[in-house]
Amino acid sequence: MQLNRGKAHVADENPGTDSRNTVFVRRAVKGDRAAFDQLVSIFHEPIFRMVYVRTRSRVDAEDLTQDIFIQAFKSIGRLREVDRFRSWLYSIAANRVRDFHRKKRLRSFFMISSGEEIPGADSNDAYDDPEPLKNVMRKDFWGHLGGVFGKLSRLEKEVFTMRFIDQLTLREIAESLGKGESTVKTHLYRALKKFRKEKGILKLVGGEIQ
Amino acid sequence: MKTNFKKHLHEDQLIQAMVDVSALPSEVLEHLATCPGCKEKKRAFEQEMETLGSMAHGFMPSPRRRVRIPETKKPGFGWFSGYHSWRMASAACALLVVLFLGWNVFFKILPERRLAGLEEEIQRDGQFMAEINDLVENPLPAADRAISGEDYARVDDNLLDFIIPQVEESENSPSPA
Repeated sequence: MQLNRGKAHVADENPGTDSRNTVFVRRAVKGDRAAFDQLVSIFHEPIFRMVYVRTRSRVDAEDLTQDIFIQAFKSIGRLREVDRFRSWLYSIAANRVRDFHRKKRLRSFFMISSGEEIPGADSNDAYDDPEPLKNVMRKDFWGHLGGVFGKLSRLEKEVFTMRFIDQLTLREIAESLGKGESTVKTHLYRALKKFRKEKGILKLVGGEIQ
Repeated sequence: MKTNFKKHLHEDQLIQAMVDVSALPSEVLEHLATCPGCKEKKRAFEQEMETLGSMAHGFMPSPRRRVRIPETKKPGFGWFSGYHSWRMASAACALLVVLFLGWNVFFKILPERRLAGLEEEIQRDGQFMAEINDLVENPLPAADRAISGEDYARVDDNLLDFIIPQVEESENSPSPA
């Protein structure tokens, strides 16, 4: 079955677990296929974005998004707390992305050791925007953000991305990563401290405001 | 509202306010609520982070492919559906293993053992028959044989005839002439 991401179904830019979603989740937990389809249409783009930031590949992000929703579909019957659906879904996504990177590292290790080239190994498969200026800006932005991310630890990067790009709450981040809220706060604090020292990205982000 | 805490928020406090404003000390919170400069700094920081998020979203592609969720399997019939199908498969596997082992035990391993047993039995029978024949030939125990003169019983008659020819036979035999 194909699911259209109809604009009418999309709640907003950042669909939290609002009361409408909770109704869908409750129905989906009981095995209502149509309710799950609604959840897919609401969370398809946010999950795709979440994966894209971590893979920087549209194709991989699409494949992983598909896998994430299939996994969610298979196990939604076991979800006990319906108000935690969003963090539950993001935890599936985070684990799936982690697996993807592990496999990719392993594959590249063997490929490199055998001297073979990996087709499409460059995850940074830039998509072309019809506007050249936007293309330049996009490359500049991801380049700067990559520079910042390079200075953060894995957990700092994850917490920072979840908070400011995926726009999850601290509680949702803690639940998604299976960490305590205080641990999340500590890592977010450290990440922000490092971020504030990066003049390049600050200039870029600050310039956007004016 | 006047506050006693005159110090403006420093960088660490500003970051702390961004992470979790409620974790700030009460006097700092009080200052933040009243100081327009600190409020503006905090708002600008929040704006920067929001801009970062919206720029990231703006510079991301949209998914081209739709998510396809596989059709839900229709429930099967009785014992051959869902959980029971696994049970049936396990039972079938167990049965196959038992049959395989049974085949080996009854049709491969046992005949070999049976043949070995038969050979032993034939050997025992042979020994027994030899003892019986021996008793037929020499019914007396070894100690009594010397008295009865049966010690020579084992000497071949043909050999004895050759060494000591029988006299009666040579006298009674018809003359060739």
